[in-house]
Amino acid sequence: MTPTVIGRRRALRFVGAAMLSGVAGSLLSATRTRTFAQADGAALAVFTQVSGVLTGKSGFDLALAMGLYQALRQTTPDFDAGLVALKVSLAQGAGADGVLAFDDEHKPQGALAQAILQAWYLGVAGKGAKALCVAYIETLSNRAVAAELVPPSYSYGACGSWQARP
Amino acid sequence: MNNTLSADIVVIGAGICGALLARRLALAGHSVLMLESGPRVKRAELVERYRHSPFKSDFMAPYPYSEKAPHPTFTPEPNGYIEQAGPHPFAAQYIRMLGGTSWHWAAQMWRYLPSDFQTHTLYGVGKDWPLGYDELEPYYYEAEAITGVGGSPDTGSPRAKPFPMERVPASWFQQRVTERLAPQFKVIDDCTARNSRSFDGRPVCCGNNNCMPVCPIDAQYHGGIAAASAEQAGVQVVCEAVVYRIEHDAQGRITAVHYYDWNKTSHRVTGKTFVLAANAIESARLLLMSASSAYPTGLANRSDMVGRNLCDHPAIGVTFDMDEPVWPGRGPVSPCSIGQFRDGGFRSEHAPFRIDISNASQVAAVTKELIGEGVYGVKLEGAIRDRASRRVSIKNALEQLPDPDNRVTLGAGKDALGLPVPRIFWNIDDYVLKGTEQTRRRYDEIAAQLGATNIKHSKPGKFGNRQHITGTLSMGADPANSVTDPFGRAHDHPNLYMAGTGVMPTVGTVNVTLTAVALALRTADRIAQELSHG
Amino acid sequence: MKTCFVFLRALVLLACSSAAYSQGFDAVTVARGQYLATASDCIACHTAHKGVPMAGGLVMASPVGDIVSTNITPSREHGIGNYTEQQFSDALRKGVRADGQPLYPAMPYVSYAAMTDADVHALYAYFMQGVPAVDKAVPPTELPFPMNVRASMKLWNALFLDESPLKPAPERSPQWLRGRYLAEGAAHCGTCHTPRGFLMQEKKELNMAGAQVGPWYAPNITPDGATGIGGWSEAELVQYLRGGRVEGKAQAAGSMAEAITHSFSQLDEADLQAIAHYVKTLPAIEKAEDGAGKAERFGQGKPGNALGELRGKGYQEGMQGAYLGAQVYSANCAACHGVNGEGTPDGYYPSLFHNSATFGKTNLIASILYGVDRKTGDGHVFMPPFGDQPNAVNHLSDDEVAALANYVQVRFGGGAPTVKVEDVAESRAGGPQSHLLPLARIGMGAAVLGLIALLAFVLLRRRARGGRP
Repeated sequence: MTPTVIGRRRALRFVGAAMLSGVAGSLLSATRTRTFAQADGAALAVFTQVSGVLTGKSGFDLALAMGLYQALRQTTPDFDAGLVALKVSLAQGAGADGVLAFDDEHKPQGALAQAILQAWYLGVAGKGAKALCVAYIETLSNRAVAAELVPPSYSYGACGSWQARP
Repeated sequence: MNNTLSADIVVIGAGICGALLARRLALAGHSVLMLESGPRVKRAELVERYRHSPFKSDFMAPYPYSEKAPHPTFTPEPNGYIEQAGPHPFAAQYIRMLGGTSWHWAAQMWRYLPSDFQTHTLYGVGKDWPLGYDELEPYYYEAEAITGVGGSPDTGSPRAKPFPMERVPASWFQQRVTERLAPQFKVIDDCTARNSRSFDGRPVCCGNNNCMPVCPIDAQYHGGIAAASAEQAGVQVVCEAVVYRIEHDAQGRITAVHYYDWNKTSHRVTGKTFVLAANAIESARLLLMSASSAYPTGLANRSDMVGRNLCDHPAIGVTFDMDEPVWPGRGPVSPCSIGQFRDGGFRSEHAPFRIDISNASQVAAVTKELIGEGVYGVKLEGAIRDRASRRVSIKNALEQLPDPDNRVTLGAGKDALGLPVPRIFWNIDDYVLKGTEQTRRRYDEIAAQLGATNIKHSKPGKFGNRQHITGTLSMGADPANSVTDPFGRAHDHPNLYMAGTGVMPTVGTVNVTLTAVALALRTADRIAQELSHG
Repeated sequence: MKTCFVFLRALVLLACSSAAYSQGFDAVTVARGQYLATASDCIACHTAHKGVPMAGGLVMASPVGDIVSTNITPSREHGIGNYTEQQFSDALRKGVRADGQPLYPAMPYVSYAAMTDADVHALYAYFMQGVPAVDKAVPPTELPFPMNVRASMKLWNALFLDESPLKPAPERSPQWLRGRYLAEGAAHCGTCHTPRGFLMQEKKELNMAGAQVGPWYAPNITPDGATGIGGWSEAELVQYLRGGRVEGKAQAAGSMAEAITHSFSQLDEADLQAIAHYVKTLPAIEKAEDGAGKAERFGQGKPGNALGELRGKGYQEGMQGAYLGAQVYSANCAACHGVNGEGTPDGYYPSLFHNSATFGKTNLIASILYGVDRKTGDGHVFMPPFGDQPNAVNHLSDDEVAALANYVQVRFGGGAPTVKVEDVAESRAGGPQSHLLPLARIGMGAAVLGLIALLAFVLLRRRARGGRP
């Protein structure tokens, strides 16, 4: 195994607390997170279940999940209701072969699914003026390529360390 | 009104050209004052703002914006600062802050080809410059030595001395693409002001792959470094000083400039010599705003050329997935290009162009794409890896010929300080359109040679802007059709000089900063010479 | 009369110098002298920043004032071109210059006193014949009163200069003896690594146990397990001297980086091994840097980040709040040293945990303010400074550096924040100042006042007794 593979993966695994980038306001302050978790455990559970289906992953970092959930709630109208509807659609089978397919009637669920994927994979909730960046390094897209790529603005090593085949 | 500031030389605009000109004159012992409309911002803040930005593909997003020194912004919505009057929007991107626009570039520092200086003589198109490559060559080298430029020697631009910096090693991506495209296409290392070794007290490149929007460690040169070096040389710098009027006397000598600070208090600054280096759009705007009864069409504008002949490098692009994993995103963002279509007899028929091969990380782009396609679940991660490892993004730079109808004028709207906003009319002619046909052919050949799938050309008839803005303050020998003389001095005002890309009469086939800096250094020498003769 | 004297003096000098030059040193001796000069690192002090080698002019901040190094090229007018070998030897080993005046012990003659006659001869040959003469004057050192009274150094030498500092040790191996000869002699490790007493003399009983050098701390290099380098192998020591770095342990910066660049990295492998061997046999002394605690200084810390604490805050807010250190780290350091302080996989950017630089506070602050600049056979290692230097494109204030250093200590180092804003200010000013100068002045002032008082008393008494003769 090349040192590159071990080093980067190990480094990412060491992350204790979630790595969350700035979000406008005190949306994700520690105390709010704790109170939130106590009060809305059920809503979060739906979110993580739906996220699990959409991302194909399990065992999400709780703080990251909460941060994304709160940001999505802030930027998406009727998020909780939409979540429930989406959960139902997914259970009924809204996508074969890894491609989501919603008919016209369920278009809103399709949009919501993409919003949730955008949050997990790109760390951004919402669009346009409402968009919030919640995570950067710990986004699923950056984790997906962590063995070969470092997120922009972090480093590879000595000058020329990118010459070798990844 | 405040009347306290004065210096021998007053420079308006603290971008890379203004700052290096100011520095040179300060080192020669002159008192120099540099006025910058925007704020002073720390690199650390820019890096963090990038990381927190929801719009990471917008390179302007990390830069703080103030309506006191407005510039175009694009996210979340375009602010429409520039009124667009032509068939093609001129989507200019520039930064009004200490150091200017080169804070967010990829440090491309190319020399023109000798033929770029005389396209009219050689090919019957465009304009001849009032100076030739040989005259500028020593200044090219000085600019390279100050900024630390390295690159391929096979550019077609003759050199008296070797590059002062060794080139940055090529990534695996660049190596593979180069091998696969040879021999039909010759991929060469770009000429960049990027440290392949620690230079000038700055660290070596560590592959942050973030050149645009901001280098986190200053391994690449930029205007912020130029401005800091100007201050160290003794230039007095005043930020948040928005010059809104240039004042002259009855003989046409510039006597003072007036600026608003960000509280909208007006200040008057006097000097002996004035240099306008506020970028090609804002400098033209200021000259037009300074119209007076003696100069009703604006200062330095007896020729009616101020703001005209606006050129950029219109660009079209293509993306596709190569047939082998090459992992772009490791090392600098713009490391290599194809230059073999920059010159030749065909220039009398259609635009020449340079082809840039991007090494920017494609992860975010392919992720957005895949989510948009509905991909989800386990398949999504694998698809991201697959596409991110093979995605090639290419764009070009087409030479646009100067057209007096492509111009910057004053718009109807006003900014927060009550000053008229810029208005731009921009069109693309057949010369460029024919050049794009050639480009598309080449793109398809390149794609084929790389075993490409998922090929996507940019929309036909749509062009991107490369931000290589020239022409609005064109230099020339004849005052009837140019704004400044061959040394950047305004024909109409003996103590007003201009620096920056605006003085360049043609846009050439390559990024324009090195040429603009070389010209600025030459202008500085000329100013010093004039001052020493009294 | 004066002309006569000048003429006679010129004749005498001419005679002496011809005597020196008429010897014509052979190439082997000159080469050996060059090697010894490298081992003694003459060039580091006797060359100005970007100056001509050995031509002096480097201004060194000492705790008692600025000392300017002299021109030691063979220039007749401005260098040591007129020195006889005896005068050269006296300067080198006794701290006396050709005009009889003592040198300040910034010149480590107390260490060079260990050198053999043969080696001094070779060095002389090198300096007379192997170094190009530079006819450029160097400003003289002018320490503040009373330090500028060089005669006082005679007393200091009487107390602290041992003209034969290396005692016979026949039971030791040739490698050990060679190592001692270099470490205590030419390489003068003790000059930096041995703490000094009140009169600025090396405290021999704490040999190599660690000392402050300007803004840096030259650590304890005795083989103590926790506070020293007991956990290092001889091979690791050699690696450090050769390349300035042992991954997961330490890297050289400041004056040590210079010493490695100019001196150690160019020595023979056998000599480096001898030095390493000797150093590992020094008496182990348990002495930690002030405030560093007694834990082992190389294995501390673990990766981690504080982005969770920055959640919800933009940059400006982060810079105002309780997590200033985390914000400064993310904005200035993480781009090279990693979000979790893990460095890069190739180790070029070191991890900040398991790194002695983050264990104490002195070198941590100094690294941040002054950066690292080290050239060896392995290449050039460069970390930019974040102080007031022209190339510190991101200047950090004392508060910001203190917050950053504490963040690094807690997260990657010993675990406890010990950095105060005053520590940063002191480092920025060049390190702690000695009390010697003000106290000497106070002492002298008190003595003068005492004398005046005595004189006044005597005079007054005489007047009181009337005009008796």
